[in-house]
Amino acid sequence: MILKKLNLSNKNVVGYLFLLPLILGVLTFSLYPIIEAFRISLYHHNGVRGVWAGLSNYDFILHDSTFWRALRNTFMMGIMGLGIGLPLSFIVASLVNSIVRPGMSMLFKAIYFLPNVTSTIAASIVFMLLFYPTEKGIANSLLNVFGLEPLGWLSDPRYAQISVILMDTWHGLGYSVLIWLAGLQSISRDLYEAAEVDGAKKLQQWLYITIPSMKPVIFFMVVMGTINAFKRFGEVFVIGGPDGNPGGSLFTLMLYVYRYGFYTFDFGKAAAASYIIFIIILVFTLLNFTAFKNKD
Amino acid sequence: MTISQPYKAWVCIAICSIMLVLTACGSNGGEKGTSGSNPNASGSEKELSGVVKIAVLGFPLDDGINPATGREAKGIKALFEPFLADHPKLSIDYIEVPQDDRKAKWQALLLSNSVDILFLDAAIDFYNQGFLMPLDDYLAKDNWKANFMESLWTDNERLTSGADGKVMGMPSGIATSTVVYDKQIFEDYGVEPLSEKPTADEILEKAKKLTGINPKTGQQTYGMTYNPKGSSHLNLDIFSDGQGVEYGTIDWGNFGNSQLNFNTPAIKKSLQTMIDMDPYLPPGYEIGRGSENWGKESNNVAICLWCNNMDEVLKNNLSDRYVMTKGIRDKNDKTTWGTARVMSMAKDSSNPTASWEVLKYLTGPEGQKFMYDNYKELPSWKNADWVKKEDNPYADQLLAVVQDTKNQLFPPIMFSTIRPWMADIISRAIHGQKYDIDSELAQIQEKVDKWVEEQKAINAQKSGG
Repeated sequence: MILKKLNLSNKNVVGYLFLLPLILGVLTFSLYPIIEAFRISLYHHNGVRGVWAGLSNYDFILHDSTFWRALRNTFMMGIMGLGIGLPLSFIVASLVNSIVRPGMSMLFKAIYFLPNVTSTIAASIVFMLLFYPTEKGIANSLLNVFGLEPLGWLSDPRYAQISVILMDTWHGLGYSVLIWLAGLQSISRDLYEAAEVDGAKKLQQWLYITIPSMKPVIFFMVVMGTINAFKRFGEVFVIGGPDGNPGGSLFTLMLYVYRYGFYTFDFGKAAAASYIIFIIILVFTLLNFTAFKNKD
Repeated sequence: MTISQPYKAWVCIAICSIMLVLTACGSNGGEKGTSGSNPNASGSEKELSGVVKIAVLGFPLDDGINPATGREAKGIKALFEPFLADHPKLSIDYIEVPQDDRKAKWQALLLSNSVDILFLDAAIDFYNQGFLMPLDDYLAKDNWKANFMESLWTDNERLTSGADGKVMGMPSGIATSTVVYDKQIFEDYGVEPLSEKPTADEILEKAKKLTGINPKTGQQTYGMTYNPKGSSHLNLDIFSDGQGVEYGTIDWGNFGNSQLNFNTPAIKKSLQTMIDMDPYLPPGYEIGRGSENWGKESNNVAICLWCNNMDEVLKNNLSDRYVMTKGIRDKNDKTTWGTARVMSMAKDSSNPTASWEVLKYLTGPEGQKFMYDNYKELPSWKNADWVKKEDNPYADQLLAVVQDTKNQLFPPIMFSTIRPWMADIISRAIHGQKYDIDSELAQIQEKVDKWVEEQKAINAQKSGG
């Protein structure tokens, strides 16, 4: 009777039963924390107990110059990360894709993916040595060869953001290359053969066949890159601590949330900041959707 | 003179009673100089039963390798084996508290009445919520308080409530930091070593002299280093012309009643000092770089402010070269900070008598010796005869810093807002970027005022609800 009302057959019920553990998992570990975080954001909350605060946590954050600074830093690093990482990984993926011998192609995939298997913490520590601020650092030794003065790569607020982006690009390149490659390999060979018959050169094929065919992958990479840029935490925490040193240049939105959540246990403000970040990410994702839709 | 038969019996009873009383009041002579009670009598005669639940933070429950020393170390369960053997009717339940979510976990345990003893990092928050047992009556009953260093009880965040003066928790291993210097670099430059109790001015003056090219080795050396991520707030205290930092008063029972003023000429001057001392600090110190060789033969930093971990020095057998001072002193001969790990008892403990005995054992000589033997924690117990110079040549100095501490504490907003801003402005200043101490201090003070107002509102709602 109930099944009829819900327009379900026995077969459907079995299917839903199989889905039940997953649905329960999503409800418990995703949906419930999302709703609970919103509730907490309306309280002065220490993680377990709270006093009603209304929208005052949101008001505090939106009037807090530190939050806007964190947003600016996050945004700048995001733009730099996407601006360098996406084109570079796409070029590398295209070059790997053009390798005819499968063994060599696999070798390069493995080489580029290797940094990705190291943890962010380990990579950050290694780069702190690589970018050591005196002539003893490897990067500065290279500059010295060209007669240039040593740079405070990670210790000077002027260069810290770009240095972190360089590290991040190295670290994430392999993953991006694999995604691009999956897209590149799904483009029909017929298109390239037809273009060759029509006399198109390699660069023209890349510009007029490869790039337009990769639009869904580009969209995916931009959206994921944007989301990840707003979630930047591990490397800036290891390098600059909770203050985002040097000079607060590495102070990102996630550090802002972390500082309120785990330094002063003001979970209300941390949750409110998380919701504001969620809205910002949502806006950027919708903008990306609109931009790509218009191009279609 | 003869005593009649009925009187004989009464005289015997009287003599026996007097002897019994004298025996009970007498000392075993094992605790010379301690005005507290005999620690070995900690509940061993009492019949304890039931369950005591302990929330453990920062220590393993089971035996394993101590990552700091690389040596085998016993877990907390092993500590209680002799205690439980003395009290066969008692059992202990252990609850492991994760470092990241510790506060939420403690709060949940206390709310749900699921814990008796807690390893805490500060007691004030839970005490103010009425979750922790004031321990004064227990301490008085067993004459126990005097067994610990007196200075520790000045810590209003961990041990003694500033609001009602009651004891919120018991001290365990000490936590402090001080000034350490590399004697070799001083000798190379021909500079007089730091005094045993140096002033901030002496440190700054010598750090300046020790920055440059080492005349003996030809290597670049730096006068000093410190970690701004964790200790720049302490510099506010030492760079205050020996007066200690003054920013008003904290009401630890209700932050909303605090009178805080960080926009003062003295604090501005301290900040300027931190900016001005940049040339004596190694490049990259803001992100914890520049002192990688500290504790090694190849060290090139002369003085380390707020040092406490001497593992590298001891590992390299360089304790003759690296000298620890007894802390920077203010005009009253007081050091800035020295406290202890804190352990508290839940107010609604279902087994308070046994919990108190467990807490005494944990923070008493048995517990503190165990922590010293296994984790090299220096004790807050006054007559800790188990501390050996061979184990830790710096023990005397660290204990002296704690003994003479005034415990300069800061409100929570220091760590969420003020210290990050300090690190920020100092970093901008030393890298030639725009900064304005006056206007930025005024902005920080606005945030502090807003925070106090917010705390006032929270407390009003709490007491209203």
